[in-house]
Amino acid sequence: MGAAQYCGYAGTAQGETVRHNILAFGFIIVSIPSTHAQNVVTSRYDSYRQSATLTETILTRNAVKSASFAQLHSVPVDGQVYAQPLYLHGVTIPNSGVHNVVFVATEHDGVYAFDDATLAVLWNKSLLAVGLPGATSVIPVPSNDVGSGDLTPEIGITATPVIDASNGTIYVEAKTRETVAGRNHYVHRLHALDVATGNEKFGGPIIIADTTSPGATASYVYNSGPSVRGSGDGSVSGVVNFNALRQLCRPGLVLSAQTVYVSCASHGDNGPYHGWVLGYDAATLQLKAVFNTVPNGSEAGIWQSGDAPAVDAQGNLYVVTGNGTFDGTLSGGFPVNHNYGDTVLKISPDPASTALNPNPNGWGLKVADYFTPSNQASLSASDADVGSGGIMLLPDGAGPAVHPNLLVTAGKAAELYVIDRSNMGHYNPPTSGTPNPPNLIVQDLGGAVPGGGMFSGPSWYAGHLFLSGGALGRFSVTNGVIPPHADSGQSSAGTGFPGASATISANGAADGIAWVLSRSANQLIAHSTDDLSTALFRGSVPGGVVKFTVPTVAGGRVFAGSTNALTSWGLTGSLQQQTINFPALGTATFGDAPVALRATASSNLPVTYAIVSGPGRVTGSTLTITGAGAITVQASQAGDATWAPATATQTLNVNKASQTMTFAGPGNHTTSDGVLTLTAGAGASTSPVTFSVVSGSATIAGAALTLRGVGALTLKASQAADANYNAAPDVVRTIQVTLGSRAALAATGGTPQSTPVSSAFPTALQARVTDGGVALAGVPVTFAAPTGSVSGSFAAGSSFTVNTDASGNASVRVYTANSNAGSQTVTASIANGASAAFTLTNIATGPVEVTSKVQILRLRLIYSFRSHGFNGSVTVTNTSGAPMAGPLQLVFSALTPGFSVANATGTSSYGPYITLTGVPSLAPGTTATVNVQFAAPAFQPFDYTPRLFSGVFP
Amino acid sequence: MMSLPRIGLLLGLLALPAAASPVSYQVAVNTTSALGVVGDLAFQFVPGGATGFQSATATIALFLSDGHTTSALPASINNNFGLAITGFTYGTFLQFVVSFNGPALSSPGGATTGSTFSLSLLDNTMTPLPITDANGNFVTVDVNLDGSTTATATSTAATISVATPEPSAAMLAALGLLGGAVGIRRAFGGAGIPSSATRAL
Repeated sequence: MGAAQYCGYAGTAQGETVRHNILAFGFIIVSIPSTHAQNVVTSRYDSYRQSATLTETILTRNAVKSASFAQLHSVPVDGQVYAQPLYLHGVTIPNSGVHNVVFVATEHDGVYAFDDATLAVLWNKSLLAVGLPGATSVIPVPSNDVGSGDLTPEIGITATPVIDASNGTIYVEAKTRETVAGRNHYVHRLHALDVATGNEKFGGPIIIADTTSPGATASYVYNSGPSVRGSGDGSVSGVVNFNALRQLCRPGLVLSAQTVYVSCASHGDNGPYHGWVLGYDAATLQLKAVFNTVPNGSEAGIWQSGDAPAVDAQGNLYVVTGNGTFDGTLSGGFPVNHNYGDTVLKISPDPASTALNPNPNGWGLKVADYFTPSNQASLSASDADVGSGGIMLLPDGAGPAVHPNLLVTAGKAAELYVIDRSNMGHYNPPTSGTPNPPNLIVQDLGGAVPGGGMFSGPSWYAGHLFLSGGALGRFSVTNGVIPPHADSGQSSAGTGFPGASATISANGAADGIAWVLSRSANQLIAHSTDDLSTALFRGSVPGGVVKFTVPTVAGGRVFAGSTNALTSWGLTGSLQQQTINFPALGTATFGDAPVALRATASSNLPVTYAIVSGPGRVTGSTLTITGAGAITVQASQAGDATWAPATATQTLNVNKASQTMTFAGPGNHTTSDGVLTLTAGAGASTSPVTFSVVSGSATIAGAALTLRGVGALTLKASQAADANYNAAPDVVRTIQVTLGSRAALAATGGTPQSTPVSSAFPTALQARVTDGGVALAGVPVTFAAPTGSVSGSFAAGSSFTVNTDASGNASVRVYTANSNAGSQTVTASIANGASAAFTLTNIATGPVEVTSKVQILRLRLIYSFRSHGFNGSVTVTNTSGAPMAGPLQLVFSALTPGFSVANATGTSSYGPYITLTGVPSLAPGTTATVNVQFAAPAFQPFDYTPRLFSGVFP
Repeated sequence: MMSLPRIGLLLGLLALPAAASPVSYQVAVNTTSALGVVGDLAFQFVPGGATGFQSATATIALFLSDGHTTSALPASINNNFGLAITGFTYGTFLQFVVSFNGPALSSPGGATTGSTFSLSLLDNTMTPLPITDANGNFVTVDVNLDGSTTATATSTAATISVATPEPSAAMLAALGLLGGAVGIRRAFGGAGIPSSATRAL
């Protein structure tokens, strides 16, 4: 290759490095090594995401392949490390001097600052210390909550933070689950921490979004967070909200033009989710830009294997989206509905837009250009995300003359897209005549990615592009043209899924080394950039390699996070190894006295201590317990000219302390005493005392007790555990509640109403007891029938007593009118004299036929020559087995025409009838006799049908 | 002649249980207060209604009186609103045997109405004689639903008793009646014994 190219660096005012590219042909320009290590303040080293440090003078190829290069230290951290370690030199740590600092963030929401030489903890900060008001629990989000096993067992900090070296601020995006009043809130926060202390800055943290999810019902409450206008997945009334449960912000943070950008996708494609880019003012942490990749669609997350969006010198952001909605129809060359699934996007600041006057994708950012593969539909259908890998900008001018400024990216389909950043190619849609039209980009290299699909980020060094699918390959770029396949012999052994993003270290054009973390081998592997087929070094990674993670090379050392540790490698030289004897710390209880730390070094050099994690504080050799939990303390000996540094850790398990809470109870009351305020003597924990009703009729809201009935009322006071105290024993008190003088009674059902005489009223009589508007339960209510002739009866007689239910209602189901027609008033009353009246009417209506319940016999019919009619008798016998209410009427139906009943009491619609006088009721088995006289026109046969009715004909 | 005191004034109920054979009653009426009155004897056998009864038949026999009939006595009357009126000139007494038979007595069951046999004594305006009861009757016999019978003398001038059907008793009765007939013929100038009574023997 006749030309080589590489880049120098300059720190920006904000700390994130923007690569100022120098392109040269036929000669090499070597940057002047700095007198100190290069800072690593952002994902993949710089805003172009080229992932290379060119000022590494210590880790030469010879040094790395020598026996002197080895693991130096490995220290535990409190969670998985997905984020790339960052590095700042010359940080003044209060009371500790100047250190070169390695920053590590964990999925347990921990942030650490380690001394780069000893990995002694300079400070660590748990971002779980901050929670929503009233939160009783603040934890990383359990994987089960997001329904995906992509990232286990918990999700905290995934995105690589970004550092503003100019003012010593590290920005961190953290995800938490916070329980408030029994409901889980999923919260994303942006923290701005002081690199020297870990303390929050700029009034931070701020809440990016807070979403409450009830769980399986898949409905959400968007308590706060950014939104855009649109009809996309999960939209509510034309607004798409940031779903803090579903969204995962995996790509590294970006710091550009005083703005911190956060980019997001989701957990395992579990929706509703969208691709988001959010911009926050770096100094105030206020939201200043919102961009949604699919405001009217779904998915299209920004994954990029954790690589941060690339940023060019003009401040344009480049992101690539995964599968999701893409509008096949274009308007003015852009998707008609502004949905950009499986698309490489160029996003520019849009100061003309605001939250109230947004552009189609949000505000503060807008689409400037884009490229979508012509086979996007089939890619999306097969989940072959374009945006599975990172996006990298080649040095300015590295492309051919007509396309000097290029970017590269590749997705799951292993197809490398080489795109002109100034003319990205848009979308060349298929037609019936051209089902597979070419992508209108600079180069489209199908199958170029070594080892298959791209789940990592490209790297760039000295005119070479490095790509990793399942293996790392080198592509020599000639005259701006990328070959279709990796250089011959320039592919590494397989690194396993998901591939490995290479970090390049070099001293200018010399000693180029590609460092990768192989997940399949659980190793840190160093290759010469001139020979990827062999390894200069292989070293195991304590704790195991985490997918997507990237090693950081700085200051002559290599740093890599793992599932539970940060490990450093470097030159051991001829220093003697020393060990630290750090006795076990055992267990303690919160509140115990400080613990003396007694570690000794075999070198007899002094040992220093630092908190690795947990609620403790170290002063000298004294550990002060500041909370319950596991406190991991690191004992360090920094070494000297003779002794190599050494560390050891021990964990003190601090149990929660006991607490006692007192509760005397409110004493006996009447229902008229109003709302009572419960008081209790709280124990030592921060958890509030809560009250509950064990039995009886009352409700409690906070400490406000509302009496809702009479009788015994048992109350319980509880105080939950908190981080440092166990729950206090419950205290139970029973009081007596009696009916108050203010209690009122009202008829609420069954009045007015009516029923035929001798029948039950159809509607239950219901009265309601209240006191001050509060319904009372358990109050005896007595219903009494009137004493007049028009009355009725309850099942138990003339009165009936029943207790009110939980709604304050007392009901009488059966009240039967007596046989007298007219109005009556039933009275309900309670013990304090309050009463209510029910207006009821006994309706006089036709009697009820009871013929089927009796045997009727016709006897002794004789023609009388005196009256010239027939005289006879009829017997009626009750065969029903039940008493038959009188009065009884014997009806002579269908009487032969010409005949009549001479002694009829009256005539009904059924015929003439005779009242059975002297028969108020007919007992079972008894017989009544009716004498009847028929007026007859002559002695002649006649007939009739006898029928019996109970009641009175009107 | 059979003297009235020997017949006796039986006023009251006389009940007989259901029996497979016909049930017979001896009826006697003292008509002295109506001596010489021309009128009618009315026999009726009526159910409680035109439906719901079992059939029965009342047979009149052994009629004997010192008055005399002016039209034929009924041989039998059915309980389907049966009515027979016989012209009659009253003497001092009359007597006869009435027998009941039919399904209502021999196989009672399922009926909802009984039947009642009665005798009324009327004058020539079809007005009951003063000695009768409120309905104009002297005796009634109820055929009950269970096949039993209940006989009632409803007037103090009448008696009703169970007739004994043994041959010896019947022979004695026939002899007595024969003697009585002679007496009546003497007292009333030869009024004969009704043929129906003779037939009933």
